[in-house]
Parts: sequence; C-alpha cells; structure tokens
Amino acid sequence: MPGKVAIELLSLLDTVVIEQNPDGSFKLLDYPPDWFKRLSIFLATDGLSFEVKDELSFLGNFVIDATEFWETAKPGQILWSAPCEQGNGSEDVFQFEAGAMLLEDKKIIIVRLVEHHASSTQETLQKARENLLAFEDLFRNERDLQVYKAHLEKEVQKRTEQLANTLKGVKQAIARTLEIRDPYTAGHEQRVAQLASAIAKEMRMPEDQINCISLAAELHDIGKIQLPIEILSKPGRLTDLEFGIIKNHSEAGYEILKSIDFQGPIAQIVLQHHERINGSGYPSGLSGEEILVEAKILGVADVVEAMSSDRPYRPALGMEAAIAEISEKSGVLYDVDVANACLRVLTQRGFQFES
Amino acid sequence: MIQKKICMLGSFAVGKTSLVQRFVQNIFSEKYHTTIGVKVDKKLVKVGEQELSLILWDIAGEDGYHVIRSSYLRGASGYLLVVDKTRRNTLDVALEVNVKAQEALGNVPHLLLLNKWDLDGKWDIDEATIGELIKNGWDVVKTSAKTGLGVEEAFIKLATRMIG
Repeated sequence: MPGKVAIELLSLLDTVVIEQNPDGSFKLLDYPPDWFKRLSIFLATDGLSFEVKDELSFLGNFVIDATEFWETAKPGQILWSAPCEQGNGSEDVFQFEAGAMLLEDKKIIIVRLVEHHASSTQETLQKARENLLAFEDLFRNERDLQVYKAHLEKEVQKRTEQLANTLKGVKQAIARTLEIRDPYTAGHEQRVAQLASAIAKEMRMPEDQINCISLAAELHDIGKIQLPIEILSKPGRLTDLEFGIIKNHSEAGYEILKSIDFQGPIAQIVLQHHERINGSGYPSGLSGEEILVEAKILGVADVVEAMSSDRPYRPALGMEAAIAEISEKSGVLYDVDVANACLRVLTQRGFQFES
Repeated sequence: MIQKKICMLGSFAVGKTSLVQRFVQNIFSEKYHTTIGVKVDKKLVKVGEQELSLILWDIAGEDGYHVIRSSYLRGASGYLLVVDKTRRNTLDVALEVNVKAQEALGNVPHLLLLNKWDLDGKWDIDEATIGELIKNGWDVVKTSAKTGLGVEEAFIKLATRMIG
C-alpha cells in the first residue's frame, strides 16, 4: 500500500484518497470522511471499492484529465482541478477539489474540501470583479456621454448648415432686390466678395476673418436700397447733389445691419468701405488705423470690380486701369499691404471674376 | 433515465448562477456572488413523454484574467450562452466563448440568452443588434432570472433539441 503514513495523515485532514486499480476500477485507501459519504458522488459498491460515475459528474470528468496526466507525470507533480461546488439534493452543499498524482507508481486521486482557501480566493475574485463592474459602469457612462456629445455636435452642425442656408437665401434675396432696382450692378456684390476673399487669403488672414469679409462684401451696398432709382440708373454723370445722396448708402447699410448679431463687425465694415487712408473718404473721413483692415480690403476690391465693369454713365475701364489705380494710389488712398496683396492676386495668382 | 449535461457559459456577472438557481430552486438573490471553478446542479425534467436528468454545469464566467477550461465542456450535450443585456461587451465575450465551445463540442444545440431583461431603460444592446443576431441564425431567448421570464422556456427548449 503506497505511503501508508501519508495516507493516514491525509485521512486525518478530511481528505479522501483513491487509488486506480490496474484494471481501471477505483478503491478508497481509507474509510472516507463523513462529508464525502454525504456528497455521494461515488457509487459505493462494497467496502472500499466503488465506481466513478460517468464523465458528466465533476469527478468523472476529472478522472479523464488525471488519466492523461498520469501518462507523463513525474513524482511530486500534482494536477489540481478547479474548485467544484456540488450539493447532494438536500440542504448539503460542499465545495471540493481533486488532485491527481503518482505515489510510488500508484495512480492516486485525492479529494478535499476547499472551504477555507476557496473562500479567500472567492473573496479576492469577488472584489476584483466588483471593481471591474464599477469600471465598466464608468466606461459606459463616459461612452454614453461621448455618444450624446457626438449627437449634439451633429445637431449643431445641422442647425449651422440650416442657418447658413437661410443666410444664403437672405443674401440672394437682397442681391435680387438690388439688381431689380439697379440692373447695371447685377452680380457686383458677389464679384467684390470673390476678390475681397482672395485678398484676405493672400494676406493669410484666419478663416473666420475671411468669411466675415466675404459676408460684408456681399452686403456692402445694401444701403442703396433706399436710394432713388433715378439716381441709381442715371445714364450720365451724377451731379454733386446726386453724388451726395449716393454717399448716404454706407450709413444706410450700417443702419440696416447694425442690429444683426453677426460673427464679426459686418455693419462697421459696410459703414467704412468708402473710407480712404488719407482721410479723403466718406462718410466719416477716417484715416489710417482708424479704418478696419476688413473695410480697407473691401474698399480696394470694390474699386477694382467697379472699374472693370460697365456702369450706366460709362463703359468698363478695364482690369489694366484698375491695376494702375490701385498701384498708383497705394499708400495714398489704399493701405499698402492691402494694395500689394490685391496686385499679387490680380497679376500673379491668375485671379478671374466668376460669373 | 437519460442524463444530459448542459453548460452555462458567458462573461462574469451575467447571471448564469442566478438562472440555474431560478430553474432548479425557483429562487433569486439580488446579491452578486461570483462563482469560482464550477457549480454542478441537477434537475429532472419531462420533455413530452421523456424524463430527463439535466446535469447543469455552471462554469465561472470569463474575464480578462480567467478563461474557461475546455475540459469542463467535455460530454456536454448543449449549452446556454448568457449575455447581460445591460453590458454590450458581454455579447462579444459570449460570441468568443461560442467559438471555443464549438471547437470542443461541435455543433451541439445551444441558445443565446439575453438576461436581465427586467432592467428597463438600462439596455446596452439595441433591437437592431438583436435582429442581426437572429438573422445570423442565433436562437435568442429573452430571460430574467429575477422575474423568471423565459428561464424554464430556455432550458426546456434546449433539452428538447438535445434529445431531438
């Protein structure tokens, strides 16, 4: 009998020791402890002999692993099962584990209760998993927040697009209104906006500022809506009085736009687009740094577009004349940086007005 | 009497033990008690005229550190993959475990249980995902170990397939 003392010791420790016979059957090496008998996981035949239940039982399943293990096991090696909790159909529930080993060439299985160390393992695992669940909760909340944020961003983008479309519609309506009153300047605002944006880009202005200049350019003659149609479409030269009336359009435009909450000083740019750096402009005779750079850009773009287009009182003067005007009056009427940028756009960047 | 082994598989804390408790003893506890190793239970059922002894192996759930021993699957005639409907990642784990189960057992009968169905408003797996699973051939059963919803139905449905 293998390791008699060891087996006696194991029995004292409430551990069941089983040996596999050469014919594959099993026998207990000592009388089993009470818990093992109550668990009745073996079908006891007579005395210490019994049969292992089929592989569907935990121990039957473990015997298959043990059989494989015995093939290659070395003395001192033990194959342990994971803990198994099993009842006997009544109130009794036991947690046990099985181990396989070779003892003096005998194939041995030991079965022991694991309540003590299993409970500490269980406690550790329980804590770890509770922490994991808490972490998952946090992660889920964060993910939900991200999803909500993405939804809000999408919504803002949608509304912004709607707003941009509305603004585009309003600008088109204004342009159409002005064109009906003054067919000679049809498309003037859009063309000025094209050139003003190109100058601003050439001056490496930020996107927001470029958009602001473009919008101000599209609205810069809105004040003409209050001018008499006879003056707007007069075929000959304007009298001083008529020109004085025309000059009111900057302030009229400012009055129309000043209460609208634009992103940028649109109304101010419109008000100042006829100011010149030497103080000769209108309506306020501002000079130098008193004039917004956006208004300086708009002023230059307005002059170039006006000179290169037909007017009721004259045919188009042409782009060459416009370039000469900006070049000659740079530093006098027009800001040097703006004028230079405009000249680069017109002569080096291949700028063309789009219809 | 015919004995059939059923494995309960899935991520941790999805309610495998609670489903077995509801099915075997008709009880439910709110407290989460993690399983270590395996819990083996038995339940006698009648499927049509056939009496069956179901051996239920409630196997400790998978997490990032602990994976199911494939030897536990040995001899199983079917399995239930349990998913916590309030935790999307448990579906991913169930689908991974299914691959392992198929490798070990072949194509034995199995069902996907969407558990914790009673937790209204905390759902993390949407109807579109469930629809997709069904479209891909999954047999999905909505369960709640707490209310008993679908529990008996799931086990009996699986048992019927196992003897069919």
